Amino acid sequence: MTRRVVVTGLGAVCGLGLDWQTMWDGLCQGRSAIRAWRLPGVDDFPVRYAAPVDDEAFAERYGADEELNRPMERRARFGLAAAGQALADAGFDASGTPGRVGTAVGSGVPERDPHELLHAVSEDGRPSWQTLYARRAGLNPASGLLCTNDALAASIARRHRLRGPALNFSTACAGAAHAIGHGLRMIRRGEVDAMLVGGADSVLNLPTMTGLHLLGAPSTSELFGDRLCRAFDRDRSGLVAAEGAAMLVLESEESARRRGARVYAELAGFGSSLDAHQVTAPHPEGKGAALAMSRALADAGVAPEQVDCVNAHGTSTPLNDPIETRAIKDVFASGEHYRKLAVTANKTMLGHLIAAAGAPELIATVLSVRDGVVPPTLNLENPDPACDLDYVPDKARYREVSVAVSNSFGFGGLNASLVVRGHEQ
Amino acid sequence: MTHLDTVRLSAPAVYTAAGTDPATLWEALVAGKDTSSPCEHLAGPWPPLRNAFLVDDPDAATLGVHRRVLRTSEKQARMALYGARLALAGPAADGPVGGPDWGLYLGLPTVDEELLRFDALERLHKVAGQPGEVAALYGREILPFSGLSHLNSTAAAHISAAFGLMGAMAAYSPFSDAGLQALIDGVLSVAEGENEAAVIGAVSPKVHPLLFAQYEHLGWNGAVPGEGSAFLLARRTRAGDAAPGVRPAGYGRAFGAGADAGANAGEDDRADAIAEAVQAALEMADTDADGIGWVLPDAVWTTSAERAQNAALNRVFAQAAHPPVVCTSVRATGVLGPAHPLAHTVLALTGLATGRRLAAEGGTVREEELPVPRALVLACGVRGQACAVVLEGVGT
Repeated sequence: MTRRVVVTGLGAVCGLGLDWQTMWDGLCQGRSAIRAWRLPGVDDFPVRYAAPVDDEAFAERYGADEELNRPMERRARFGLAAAGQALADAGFDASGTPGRVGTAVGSGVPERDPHELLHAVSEDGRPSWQTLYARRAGLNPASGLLCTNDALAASIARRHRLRGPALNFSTACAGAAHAIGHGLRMIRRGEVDAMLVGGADSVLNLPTMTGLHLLGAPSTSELFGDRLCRAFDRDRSGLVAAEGAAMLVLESEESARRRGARVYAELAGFGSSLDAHQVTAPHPEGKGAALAMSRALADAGVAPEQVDCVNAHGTSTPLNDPIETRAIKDVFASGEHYRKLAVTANKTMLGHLIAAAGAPELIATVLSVRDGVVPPTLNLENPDPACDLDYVPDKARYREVSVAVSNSFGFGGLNASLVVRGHEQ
Repeated sequence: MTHLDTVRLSAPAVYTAAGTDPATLWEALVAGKDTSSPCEHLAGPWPPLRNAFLVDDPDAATLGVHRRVLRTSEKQARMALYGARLALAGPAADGPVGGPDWGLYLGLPTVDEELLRFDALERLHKVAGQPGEVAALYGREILPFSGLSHLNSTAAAHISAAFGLMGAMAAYSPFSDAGLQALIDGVLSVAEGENEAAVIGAVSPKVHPLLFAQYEHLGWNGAVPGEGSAFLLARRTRAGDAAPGVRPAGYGRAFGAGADAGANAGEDDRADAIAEAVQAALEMADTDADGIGWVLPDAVWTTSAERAQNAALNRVFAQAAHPPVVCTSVRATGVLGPAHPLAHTVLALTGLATGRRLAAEGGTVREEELPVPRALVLACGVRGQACAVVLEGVGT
């Protein structure tokens, strides 16, 4: 059974705002969530910029929500909030959902509290597992030691009584895109009627940021201030980490029609691939990235010439951007169609939401198709000669977008691409 | 006929305390061999366990990789890579392995290991009140590639690089349902033409004190953990291929929405979800409870999941004229997390190929004839996830 799948609900919590409307408005206006940032109490941490969620605004908006104020990781809190928004936006009320609904999310490494293991240090200052065992009741249930990756999907499913499959994808920065793509497939097969899909992540803590820093992933430059995320620019120097969540409700077209639901766009295709190259670097010719895009287009039944826009992975890292450019040129080589594409990098405004990144970027892709707007790539002042596509610099572009591709490429060459197409109501 | 008819499962491999091939695991279970060993991490904390089902950490030579791979991997990823190598040894001898049509589907635990080395805690304790000093300590003490070695999906990157797999992929985490999700979606990727072949595997977490802290938090029933991995290959049948084999005949997956880890609340919902997944798998396989000869339930490690699984199985099979036997590998492997349902799949492939099954009776396991060529493998996630797969012998 093959069914068309449409997007009927959106939700977002990110540095640009606490709902998808504010996020989309910010993206179209070219506002950036990237700001000066520091770890609490640490003045000399080498990473100085990030795109955090506004905790005060979040507390103001969700302070009365008991479920969201239970002890849990930040990513789970953001994810639960975004899920509730998306389900409400789709018109799924609290009393139930139409048919069988599942959940699929991408989430990254658990959020570790740097002090949590001090429970293992005895009075004489020496660490021992016996001490940790004796004090295990004092471990924080909201810290990484006790948190597991399935908690978000399960919490969403439990809260909203979604009885379909509940899956968590662990494919690094492509996690949310994989979750969304598999949600699409499950609806197509008739395994479920609808899926709540997306991702949530928060890496703005000492252990994870240190790990990323030691890999050389985040930029430590202070030359550009909050204009640090410079995808495709000659002076790019690394990713800018962010946190947040975004969720979408996917639904079979028949189900949406039966409910009279508002449809944002059709999610038409999904493709994934592996680089089979190195753990520490993407394939130099972008073969894995190109395979993911080609497969997604084939899955959607779309020719490369039909595509108007690519929402790029665009991390602002030295390796990703030229390699992604090369992959786009390979996939859209026929008739040099790549010259006609509007390629945008949302991370220049959102920062990099790591495992969740594909979800807000898919929302932006969906809204580009619906509204005929391609958000800009900010800070592209001196294009890298190896990055020679139309990246929609500086200002949003108003143009018809019939078909768009959204890319997510994870550490180690785990790739996913999604295809969005306009939907006639 | 279902759309899964074109897929055959082959190349079963396990890396567990019972050995490195399915036949050895089978024999260990029948012989009642004690494959556990003392675990230094358990000497003191988390009684009453003293032994666990441990495996050696594979070295670079065993893995067939450069030593630098060890820097970007943790034992968990290395167990996975070794499992994949064991599985692909046979296919590699028969022809080329890898390429753009070979995919990878993995079930992965979270990497449960302290990021800051344990012996650095004394220094952390001394500077705990000074955030700047704590940050400096982390900068000095965390290993350069910890950002990769602590990322569970790095296992996929290593396997992909080692075998040239560039096909469609996915990785799921962190509990036993992740292993069956990998099997289901890996099989579907082949059935639906996305991959010509899919390497499907899962790995256990490394046995480590933090694992027990997490287990206790989630309602641990005292089940003994094990280490290891299990892999197999899903491949499209070639036209006219009449060779005997095993096919995935049906699957089901659901979530017990009222379930909550570590609590009894929602147990009925969880049992409902497991029963629903099993019924869906039976229906897709075009069979019923009497059509199953062998049930390999999940090696559940929480009291709540254990009760829910038992209730669901009783419900589904109570009316069967010839209820199937039930057997797990747990006494020879321990609880393997995501790898457990795939270790069971490997055992089922062995049984379906030979017309035999394993039956647990009291403290022993006996081998007997498999009356119908179908086995049911279950996985129950800790928080209410449920997956079921029916495997069927074809021409066996």
